[in-house]
Amino acid sequence: MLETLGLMGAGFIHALSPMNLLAMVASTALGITIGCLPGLSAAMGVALLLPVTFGMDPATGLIVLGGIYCGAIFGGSISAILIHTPGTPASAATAIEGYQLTLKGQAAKALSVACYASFCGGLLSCISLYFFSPLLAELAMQFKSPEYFWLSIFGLTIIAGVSSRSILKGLMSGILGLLISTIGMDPMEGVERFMFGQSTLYNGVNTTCALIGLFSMSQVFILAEKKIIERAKAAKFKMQYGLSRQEIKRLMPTITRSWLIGNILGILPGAGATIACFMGYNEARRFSKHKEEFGTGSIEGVAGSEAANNAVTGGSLIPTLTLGIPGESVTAVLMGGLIIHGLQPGPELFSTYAPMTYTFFAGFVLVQFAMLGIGLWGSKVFAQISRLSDSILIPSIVVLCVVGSYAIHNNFVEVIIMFIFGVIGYLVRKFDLNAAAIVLGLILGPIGENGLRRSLYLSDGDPMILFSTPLCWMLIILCVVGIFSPIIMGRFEKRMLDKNS
Amino acid sequence: MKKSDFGVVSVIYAIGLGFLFMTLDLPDAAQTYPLVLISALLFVNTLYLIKSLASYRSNHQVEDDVAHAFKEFIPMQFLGVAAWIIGYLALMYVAGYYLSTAIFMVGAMLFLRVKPLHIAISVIVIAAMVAAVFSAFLHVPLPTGMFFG
Amino acid sequence: MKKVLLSLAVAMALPLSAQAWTPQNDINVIVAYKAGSGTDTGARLLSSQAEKFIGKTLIINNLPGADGKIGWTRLVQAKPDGYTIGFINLPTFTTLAAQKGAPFKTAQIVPIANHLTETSVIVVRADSKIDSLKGLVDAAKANSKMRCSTNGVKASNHTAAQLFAKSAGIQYKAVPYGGTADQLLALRQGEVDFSCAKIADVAKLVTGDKPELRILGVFDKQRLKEFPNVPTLGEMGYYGEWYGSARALVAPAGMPADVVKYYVDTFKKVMSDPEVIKAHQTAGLNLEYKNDKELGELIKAQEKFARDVISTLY
Repeated sequence: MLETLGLMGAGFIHALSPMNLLAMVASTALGITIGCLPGLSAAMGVALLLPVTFGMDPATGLIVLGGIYCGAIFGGSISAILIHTPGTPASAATAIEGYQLTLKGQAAKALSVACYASFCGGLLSCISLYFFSPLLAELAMQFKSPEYFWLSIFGLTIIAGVSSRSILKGLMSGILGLLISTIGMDPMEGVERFMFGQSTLYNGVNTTCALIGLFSMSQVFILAEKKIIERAKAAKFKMQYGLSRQEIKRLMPTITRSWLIGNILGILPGAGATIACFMGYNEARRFSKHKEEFGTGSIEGVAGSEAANNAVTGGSLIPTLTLGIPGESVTAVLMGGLIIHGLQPGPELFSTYAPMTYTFFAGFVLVQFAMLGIGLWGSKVFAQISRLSDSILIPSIVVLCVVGSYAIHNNFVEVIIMFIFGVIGYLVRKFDLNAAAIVLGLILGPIGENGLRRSLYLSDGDPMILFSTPLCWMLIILCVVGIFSPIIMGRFEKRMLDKNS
Repeated sequence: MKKSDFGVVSVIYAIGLGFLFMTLDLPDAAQTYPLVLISALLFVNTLYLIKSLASYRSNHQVEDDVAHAFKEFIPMQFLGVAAWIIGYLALMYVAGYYLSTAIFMVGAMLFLRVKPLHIAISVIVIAAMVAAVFSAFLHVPLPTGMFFG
Repeated sequence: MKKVLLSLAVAMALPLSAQAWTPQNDINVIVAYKAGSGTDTGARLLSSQAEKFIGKTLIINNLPGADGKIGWTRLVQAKPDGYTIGFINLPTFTTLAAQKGAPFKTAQIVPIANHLTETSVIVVRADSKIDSLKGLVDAAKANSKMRCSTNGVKASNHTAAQLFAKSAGIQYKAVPYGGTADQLLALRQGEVDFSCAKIADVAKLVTGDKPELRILGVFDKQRLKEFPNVPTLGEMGYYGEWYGSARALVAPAGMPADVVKYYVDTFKKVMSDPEVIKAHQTAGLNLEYKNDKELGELIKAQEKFARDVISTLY
């Protein structure tokens, strides 16, 4: 124990070397830039910069990748808040409340809330990295096909949370998302489904593409239909970006909750930051004392989403480093980097290579501070973008959407797909269906389908396999609570009000 | 009940039936899962229709949400922007990224009545940012058109 | 007459070779699997090493999906101007190309060099009661629904399992997962009973103090150097040929001969370089260089294999 503490301390000392500090700041800044550009995801950023790290010392190389990872997950919130365009899918839920805040002139505040929340989420997830790795890794090993199925069901209950007015319409949107997610190769039978002869669709509709279309391109259409107001926006703009003590106090429960959600989702391979941000947002709304703010600009909504997605970063490192199971697509690339350096994930990393590993952990902690600093400073600068006239934003957003959706796979067909989803997104928003629900269906669809069909195949069609482990039951209870708690809590609150009046 | 309800319900029925049609072409084992989803969609859609009709029966009101949604809608501006975007995509296929982006941004902003100075600054900033981050730094190839690049 | 023709040819070749092709721009390298996967890791390692010799950036373009179909379709459709090359997996590539209505054919690529050779093995959990190939066969005969995880329907590890099963006369349940990482996770979690994978994928899981998995057999004609105690399938009376994945570098057909020659020569230099060899060893990858002619023969052999063996396998 003492020895481990000693190693941890040594890790910090090494992490504070000039080379590593420079690496941290540069990589975090780069990560934030990559994150805030729609279409460039965190995984892409890490993959693109992987070769650069080959010549470096392994610890420094890992710190660089960690900086890009955390920076990008935060960076996505910048464009989500300012132009309703999640820079990475992980910030999709941030766009819901963040953009409303921008419309009220509070872009700077929204950005700094996102920054603080990301910082807290990432930092707290480092605690689990240092102290709970073995335990959480074991939890990851318990998640098999049936458990993933129930996880996806729980994820789908979020649809009720993001459906502003009509739950039926929210459900329709969610099922539509599920249906769209079936486009592509059938995972169990290997046949083509609904592909219209397009080889691009073998893997289904790309989530990032659909997200850019549904959130950003649709925003362009919405901006284009109304008269372009220039002065009014600038007049309402408030430069205040710090958070008052009262606000911080109000956000703490949300951030803590989202940290736990993101941390646990992070350790599960296949469940990533995107699901975490929606869950964090939904739980923030469920437990909020200011529910009426949601939908018109709630800082709790922003905090709930951003703390969760950054908490995924530390969590996803756990199974990657201890078991060699990537917790998320970014860590899969990171693992590739480790292997090329000759480091195998597993106990070796904590025994033979412990000094390097703990230097990396320490660097990961310090990266959070770099992110806070750069992010807050950047908030001042970036917030100015919200003062730009829509007439400038419209073409600029289009250009970014196009380059972003093209950059995913260098495939022009995906630009067309993005545009189609833009049209769908516009109609969806006009007629009170729910774009977030479609995205949820799109992401959770494959997880749920694989979980369900594989479970049934393994058990020869016996549905009892879905109820076979304690973990399954825990998840089922969560689902039930998730569906019924708004109703129960509503009645509870009513009774309290009746009692008091 | 809302004015848009019939439209929305019809479109969803159409989508569901379209998928159903395509599903029947698949081998039997692969049909089950899509069929489950399609039935769920059609079921929820029908529930919505029933709810809509029921609320009409009880208060005989038709909320004109279409007018509300399209209040302040400026057709010329909207269609103009849409046309420019479609033109941009078509142009890019032929002329490559940078050229078509420049044409699109200048054209669209002129259409939206932006001051020439602002146009110039925006185009330069965006082009520089994309070139720096995507091309120079990340080496992400951008579309090169059939004729130019 | 021959002499005249020969000297004419030499006279023409001289000015041509004086201007040997070299790349002027960055090169696009298509990898048909997702970032972080086994193929991708190997591709990235080779590309980063090769950059020192080529002097231009090799941009890895991950195009995963449909067990390689998406990436390889794009590869054969790419302009053969020397700026797009890609990695293929054998026999997966030839298997897919042999299918009816396949979006690409083996004639649509030109070989450059073979990079890695990964032999397939059969693994079970280290705590499994099965400790030999015969034990596995007996268990399968008793229970025809033994579960085997694969990296996809009819993907390379599924083919391996089929080869074994047919030669041993057993039935089993092949459960497809999204890739080798997922399939091995399922095995480690105990969701399935056994699995077939490549030696590099399981190397670190079967060695050390507390190995998680155990290798029962190897698909090769002779035993592996690193695992002399593991019998080959042939020894035990089952499938006796080599089976595994070869990872090779190819280019779209139609590429001018001098461009192909440039790549062939360059990658020969790269893969003979002692530093590169050492880097592969560090990463646990089995570098096995074959030049373009040898690769061409390997592709033909795999094509035959795909036509004759795999088509009757499922």
